[in-house]
Amino acid sequence: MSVATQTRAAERQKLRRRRAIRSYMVVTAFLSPWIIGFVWFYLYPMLASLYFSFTKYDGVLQAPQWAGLLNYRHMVGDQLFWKSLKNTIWIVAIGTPLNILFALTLAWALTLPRRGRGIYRTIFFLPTMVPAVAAALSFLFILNHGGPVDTILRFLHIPSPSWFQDANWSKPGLLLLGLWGVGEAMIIFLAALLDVPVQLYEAADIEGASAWQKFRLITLPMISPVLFFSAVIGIIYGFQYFTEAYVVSLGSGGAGSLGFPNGSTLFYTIWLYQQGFEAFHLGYASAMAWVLFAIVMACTAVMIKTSSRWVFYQGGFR
Amino acid sequence: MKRIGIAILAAGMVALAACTAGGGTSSSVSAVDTSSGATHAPVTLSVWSFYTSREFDQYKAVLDDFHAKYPWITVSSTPAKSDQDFLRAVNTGTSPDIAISAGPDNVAKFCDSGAYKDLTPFIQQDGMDLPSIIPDQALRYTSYKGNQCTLPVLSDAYGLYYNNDMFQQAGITVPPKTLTQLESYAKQLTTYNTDHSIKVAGFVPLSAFYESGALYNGVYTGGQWYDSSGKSAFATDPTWASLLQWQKDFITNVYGTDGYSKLQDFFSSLGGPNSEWSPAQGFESGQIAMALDGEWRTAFIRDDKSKVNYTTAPFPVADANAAAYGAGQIGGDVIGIPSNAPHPAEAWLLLKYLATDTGAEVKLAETLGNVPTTYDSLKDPTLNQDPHFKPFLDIFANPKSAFKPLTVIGQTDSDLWSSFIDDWEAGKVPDLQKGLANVASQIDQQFQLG
Amino acid sequence: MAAGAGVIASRRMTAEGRRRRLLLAIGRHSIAIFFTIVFVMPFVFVVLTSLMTRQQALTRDMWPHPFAWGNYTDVFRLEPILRYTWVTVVYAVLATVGVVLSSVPVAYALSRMRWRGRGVIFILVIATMMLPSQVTIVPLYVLFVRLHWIGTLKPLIVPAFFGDAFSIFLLRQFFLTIPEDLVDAARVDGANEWQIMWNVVVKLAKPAIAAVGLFEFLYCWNDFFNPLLYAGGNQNIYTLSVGLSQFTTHHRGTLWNLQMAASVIFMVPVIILFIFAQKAFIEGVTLTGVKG
Repeated sequence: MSVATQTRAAERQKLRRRRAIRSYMVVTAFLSPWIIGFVWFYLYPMLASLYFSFTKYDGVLQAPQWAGLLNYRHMVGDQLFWKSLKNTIWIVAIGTPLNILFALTLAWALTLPRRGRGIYRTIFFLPTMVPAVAAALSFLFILNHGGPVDTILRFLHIPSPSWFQDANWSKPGLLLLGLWGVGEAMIIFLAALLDVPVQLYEAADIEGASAWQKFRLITLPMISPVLFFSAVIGIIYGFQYFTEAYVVSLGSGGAGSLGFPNGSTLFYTIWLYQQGFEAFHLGYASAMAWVLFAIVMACTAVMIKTSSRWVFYQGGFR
Repeated sequence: MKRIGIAILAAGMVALAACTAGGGTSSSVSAVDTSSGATHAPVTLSVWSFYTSREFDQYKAVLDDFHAKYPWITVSSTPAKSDQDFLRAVNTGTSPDIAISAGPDNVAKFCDSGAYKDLTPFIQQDGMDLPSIIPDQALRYTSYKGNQCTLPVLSDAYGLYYNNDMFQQAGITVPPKTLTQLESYAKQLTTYNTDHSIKVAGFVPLSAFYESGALYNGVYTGGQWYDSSGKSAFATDPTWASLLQWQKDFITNVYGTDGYSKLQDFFSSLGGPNSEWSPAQGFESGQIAMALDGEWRTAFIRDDKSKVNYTTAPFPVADANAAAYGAGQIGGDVIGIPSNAPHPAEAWLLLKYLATDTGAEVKLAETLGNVPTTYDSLKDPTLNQDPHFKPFLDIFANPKSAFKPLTVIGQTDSDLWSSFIDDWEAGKVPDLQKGLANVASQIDQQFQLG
Repeated sequence: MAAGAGVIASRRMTAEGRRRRLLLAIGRHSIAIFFTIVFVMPFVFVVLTSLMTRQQALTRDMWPHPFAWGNYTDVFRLEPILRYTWVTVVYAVLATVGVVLSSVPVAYALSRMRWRGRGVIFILVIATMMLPSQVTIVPLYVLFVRLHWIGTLKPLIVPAFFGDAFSIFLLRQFFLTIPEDLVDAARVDGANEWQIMWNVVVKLAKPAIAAVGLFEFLYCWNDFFNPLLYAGGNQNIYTLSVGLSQFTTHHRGTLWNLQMAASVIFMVPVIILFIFAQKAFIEGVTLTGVKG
């Protein structure tokens, strides 16, 4: 090789490297909002809250003091913590499958009529648009003693519970409120149902499969990725259930009655909020947040681990 | 990779330390010159109170009087603020100048944590002798370990309200004096609809029912919240267990074995807890024969134009505690100045006005139907001549009347206690003694967090 | 509805066949109609009660008599709804602008630019979406206190200008569907990345950007936790959610009629918005399969 070609190669390499650096700078410029946001709103707060969770930190204007496992130890003995966790698991374990089942039923009902599907879809979706606070205020009235549901049930001679005034019925009341706003899952399921190739059903018809068999052996596997996705999201958000319960408990129990009646609507994030931003046990609230994070991660991990057994992927990950 | 993680962590800690350092407030006191010749720049004081609706407007009238007296101080008043709101405001530097709480529940917490200013320097500066102005019963629940971070402005006293017509119909002539009498009267006075639901309740002992919770604060049964070493005494003081057992028997004897659910239905048919502040309140609507309630109910009955024909008296006490008859739970509004209030000097002027000005106290007491909290205002003839109100003045004056002990965990102990009673009522506590031991250890544990 | 059309189409069929078709159509619609009633009833109850007098709202009556239209003016006197609405609009509009402006370039870099580490960053973006907000809430709160931002709208609006994971994800998915040829053609013409993004990709991705904007606007309109937390007791920056959530505590009695009127006022704007933007919205939901 001549010296000339050598230098030319070096030049080219230098140029390439410069171009690479330049293109990385461009990428960084495009990403910059997210990078700043990530450091500011995720990375720093996560590390800080992890640190806070090991401190006694009562009040924003005081300095956090290292306290080792104090907050975590306190959590073990804190019965309201366990109550809130139990309530939350209840709403996740019952609410998530119920929502999926109901959304699927609605989506199926939408596949039946050949015309007017758009109108039905709009109507079914409309409640999803209602702001959570407005929906909660509305259901406070609708399920109130002497309210419309009570009146109808009494007219039909069905025993009518006191919903948000009764510790045994407040969570079912919240479930109803949740079912009213199940539209997003419904739309996703509808799209998935309509995506199932018609040929599969036709083939099944030829072999004389029953409706249930067709659902069990064709529909369910084909839409299982969507169901799985909904379940994961449902669990992640279910553990953060807050607004409806907050509004309903204050609305039915009066000021300072989070969890009313009798702690039945005391959910994890509500107790966290109460401890963090009403009692200002910021260290304890941070510890609770990390435990929540661990629980959510564990649930998601279990879901993903077991998904291969019941989720059917047509071709790769959707 | 690991090393990078540690580096990031370390960087985070440094940033954190930088962020959390500093804070704290000085506690110097400056006085406002109120002599006639002094000139003042206009100041607007923000006042947060728990009051709403009618009471809020009536309170505002007295704040207007203050403005008339000190024209350069304008008062802007905000309704429906809770102790949690005050604490949050102090923590976020958005404090009002004056915070008015409905009760002394969190006084110790506010004083001990420095959330409110210690008023002692102000008091000394003005050369006030508090014990000669304000009765001891009220002063007791406004300070903690010598830190006078609040002052009482109006107190509450809890007593018995009973419906005269129902008593007459049942042939009862004197109010009950013991819990045993309360039970037998309640049984006589309770009536049912055709579907077996409660039409008129003799007395509703559920702790979440309106003000009935005051029955479980120890005054009427001689129960101690804490023992001499500061540990919760719910399990060791036997009066608590017998009180709760009495309650369970009461519900069964008066309302039957399904009494709890009957009472629940009854409460929700009245409109639940919210109905307490509306004309639908059960005693006002003639659906309750006897009630444990605060003196303010007299003003609600008046202003709601309720037709209920009633008498007031001290609330009955446990049979073993008969000597305490005449006493009751007391403790009402407490007012403090948040540590980072923008105008503490002017705020003190207003606080002093509300807490010690006889005219202001009397006007508030009469319109709101509360017990005034200065010696002078307690002599007010109008209040003393009102037969409905006089018993509450006597309850307030009774030396055995008290508020529950104040602790640095604030209302957390009463929250845990009432939540335990809720469980007990609902039949979710199989072993009472074990349950009491449990709630006691829960309360003791709270002192860890403070 | 559709049954009539079915009958006309099947005129040539036998009477037996026609009856079967009709019954089938009725069967198909009856389930949907049943659910329609279930979903619409709450709206009906709320609207009817909002038109009752205070006394009547406390009774078991279902139909207002007389119609108390005055409730809709009374409720404005009772609660500063206009101010709540204004604050909510300010929050929602500014946050939406911020999210769109900041998320588009990030999504572009994650979809149309090739660089090492793209996959890792994308996973990080997704991970932040899954992170429970409680994990970051305490330090952020402390930080905003120290910046003296509590009691202002800044804690709600400023973060929106630093990218939103969900919007980035949604935009990226859409950007990936834009044909490579168009981007390459622009590159050949000598356009730089910035120009390609604005002139080619953004122009083609208008439906996705509309969906992102819509989602963010609705998220802000409905948001409760953040405004509750950061208002710090400053009533002047209460949004509709925070202001109305305290309706029952403010008016300790039971003003059901006005409470329902307030709910109606709160939900009507988003319902109208939905009816007009339905297509973009439903496409957005379907595209992601993720909660908005």
